[in-house]
Amino acid sequence: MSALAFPAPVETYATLKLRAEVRAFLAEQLGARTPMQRADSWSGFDRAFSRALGARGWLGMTWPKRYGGHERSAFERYVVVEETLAAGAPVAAHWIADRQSGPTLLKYGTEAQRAAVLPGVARGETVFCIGMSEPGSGSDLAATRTRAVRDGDHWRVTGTKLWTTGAHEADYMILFCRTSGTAADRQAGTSQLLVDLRNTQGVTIRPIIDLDGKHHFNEVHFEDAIIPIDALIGTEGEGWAQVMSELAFERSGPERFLSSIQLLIDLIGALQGAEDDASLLAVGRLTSHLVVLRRLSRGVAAMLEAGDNPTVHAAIVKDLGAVFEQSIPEIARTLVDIVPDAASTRSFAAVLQKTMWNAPSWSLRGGTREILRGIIARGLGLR
Amino acid sequence: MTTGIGGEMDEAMMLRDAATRLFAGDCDWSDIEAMGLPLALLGEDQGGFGLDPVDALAIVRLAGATLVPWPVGETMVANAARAGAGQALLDGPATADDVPMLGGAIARSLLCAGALGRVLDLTIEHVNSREQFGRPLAKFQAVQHALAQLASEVAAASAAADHAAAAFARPADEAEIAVGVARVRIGEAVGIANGLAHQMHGAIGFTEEYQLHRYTTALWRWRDEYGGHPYWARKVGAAALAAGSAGYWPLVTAA
Repeated sequence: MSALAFPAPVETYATLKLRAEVRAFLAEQLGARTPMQRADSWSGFDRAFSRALGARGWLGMTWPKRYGGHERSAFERYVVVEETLAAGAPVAAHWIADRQSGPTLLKYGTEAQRAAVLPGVARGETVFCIGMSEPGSGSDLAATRTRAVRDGDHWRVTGTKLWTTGAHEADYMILFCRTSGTAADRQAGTSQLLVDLRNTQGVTIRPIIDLDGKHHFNEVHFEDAIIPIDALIGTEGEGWAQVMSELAFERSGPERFLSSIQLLIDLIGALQGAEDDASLLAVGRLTSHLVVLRRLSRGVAAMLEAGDNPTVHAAIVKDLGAVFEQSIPEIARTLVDIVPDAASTRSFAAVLQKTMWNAPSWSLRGGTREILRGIIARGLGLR
Repeated sequence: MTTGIGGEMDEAMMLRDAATRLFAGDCDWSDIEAMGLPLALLGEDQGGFGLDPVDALAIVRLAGATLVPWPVGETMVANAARAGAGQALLDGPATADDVPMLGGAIARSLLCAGALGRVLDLTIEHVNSREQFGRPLAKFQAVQHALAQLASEVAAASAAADHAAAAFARPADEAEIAVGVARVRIGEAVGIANGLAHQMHGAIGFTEEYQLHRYTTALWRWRDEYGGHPYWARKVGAAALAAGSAGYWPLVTAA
């Protein structure tokens, strides 16, 4: 049981003060944002907002000052992340870089890579995308076929990455690929490369439209793309361990249970005045889940602050969080008699459709439910 | 977690170790009194330990993990209420009439967290040792995923119980919401966890001779004592609806 204990969250004067500052900033920045726009927080791409957040010192918060960071605690970063998400702020332009690409470079990158890239991320100016999935390699990430071959003073890269969120807007990609051996070698012989998407020949980015008609995903095709030899991140052949560490960052935050918070907020608005017993019980139950998920997730932040490995704990929060956030549209429709309709002038109907249509992705992205449960089972000693 | 004073942390650990040893055997109420547990939530000037309430309440979790047949937590919270009101302390184990609703609910939350930890441990032991089709049950992916789900529910219930314990020292109106949240979440966790544990144990878990049922049947009772799901869910729901759209997220972060 001790392996599954989550540390108590930490609230300090600094976090309380910061929360008030962030709320005031968001109220000022987002006043005109509609519920439909707020429901699009993850996908909302707004460089001006990300720059404003960076200007306040709220990106790269935990990083060393020499890389443009602010040397603040994981708890303070948590406050900024959860407040921006709960307010439905457009986070797509800084989200991936602040959460995982920056921390990966900080942990494994060369001094030159850190110095060149991290300050721009902390200013909210540099956009990253994630080069992991491929046509034949989704959950089975070790089956990667994208290959980087050493050729003099550069790598020659050929292969295809898929479901690459925001590649069409991104400045950089952290590419997971094979640098030796074959797909049969599985985890061995894989590496990570820092790809400058603005200055690399042989990279083609094609849109993939999702079921909501939106363009977030891409297919990124590398054909004999020439990438400098010093683009290697960390150690050649150690890509698997590095990518697992990156995924622990990707899975650890409050975004893993806040995807449908705007619908819950609108549901409470829709139920006001008609406070029947079914509504009280349902909202009471959802709120209880949310408060406990938040406690678990802040426990993960405490582990990150202490330098502990949160892989299993993060998988638990992400799995429970996805079940919770996917349940909200299903429960909302049992309480409010309305047809989900994105074109409706009633914002509740519109947000209900958007949330319902996006919900299937929440137990897929960043590691499927099945992968997460496998990680938890391994943590229990069953695998 | 204590407030960082080294001596207090040591004292809390020593108390937990002593209680673990006591609860491991057949303990009488006189043993529990001799250890001072009925006064564990009181200040030193009142004859208690002067511990952070969260550390004192950790004893109740241990009582749940070993199914101690005495109302340890109930007597702790009843005596704390009496001391607060300037009344005489209890002379013996608390009865239902002595226990305030909120304190009883906090104690039940911790008992449930302790027992759920044992349900998880027993289930892991079982799937690792029981073989079918020539291999341990733990090697089947369907079983692994069920265990992962069970562990997640136990982790959520444990965090919820921590939340309830931390509420003991909060003002009554805040504590009502925090404890309500814990009770609702734990109640649901018990339903899912007990169901999965029995499913993974198969028929042996349904027998009188095997110990799983001692935990699961206690859990099915504990989760609904001192206010069941409707009682607490209505309180939390009413607070959320009163906060409205604009006040909802601040309510969540303050809960």
